[in-house]
Amino acid sequence: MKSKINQKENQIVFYLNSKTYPLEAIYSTAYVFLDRVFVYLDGDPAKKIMVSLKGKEKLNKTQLENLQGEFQNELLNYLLRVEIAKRNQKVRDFIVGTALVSALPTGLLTQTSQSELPGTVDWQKDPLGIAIPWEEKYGKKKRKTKKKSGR
Amino acid sequence: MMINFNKKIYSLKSIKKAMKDYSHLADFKIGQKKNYFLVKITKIKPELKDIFQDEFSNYVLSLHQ
Repeated sequence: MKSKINQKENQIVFYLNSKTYPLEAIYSTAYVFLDRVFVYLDGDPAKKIMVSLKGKEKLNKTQLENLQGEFQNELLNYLLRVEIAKRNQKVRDFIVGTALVSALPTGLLTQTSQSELPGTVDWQKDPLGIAIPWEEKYGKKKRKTKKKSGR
Repeated sequence: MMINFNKKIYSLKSIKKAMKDYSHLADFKIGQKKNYFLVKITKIKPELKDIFQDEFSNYVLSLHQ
C-alpha cells in the first residue's frame, strides 16, 4: 500500500480501498487513534478513502510508518467486528426480542395478547350463556312446570 | 483558517455540534462548495492557534458515532 510521509508536517498519508475497508470500520479505527494522532479523512467512500495521520508528538520516519501499520491492523480488527455484527444481526435481534418479551409482567402480556385478538370478549361476561350450570338454567323451571301441571 | 470536510465522510450535525462546543475558543462560519463543507475559523485564541485546526478536525470525527 502506497503512503506518503511528510516529516516536516509530522504526517503520513495513505489510501484505503472502500470495497475492502468499509467506512464504518474506518470510523471506528480512527476513533481508537484520536488520542494519539490527528486524523483527517477525505476521498470518495465509493472508491478510495484518504487517511491522514499526524502525530501529536514529533515522530520520525519509522514511527510514522509503524503508525500506518498499527492503523491497518486495528482496521482489520474492526473489519472482522463489522462482518461478525452483520452475520449475527438476526440472531441478536431474536435474542433481545425474546429477552424483552420474557421480561414483561405476565399480567401485562396476557392483557396485551387478549386485546390484540380481534373479536374477543372477556370470558367473565359470558354473553352466550354457556357458563351457567344446567341445573340453574333449566332445573327450577322444570319443577315449576311440574307443579303447575299437578294442579 | 479554512477546513474542508468531505460531505460523504463528515456529517453536518457533527460539524455544527463541534462548532458550538468550540465557540468559546474561536469564531466559526460554515458554507459549502461541491462535495465539501467549508468551515472558516477566525479569532482563534493565540495560544491555541498551532493546534486548533487539527484538534477541531479530531473532535468533529469523534462526534461522528
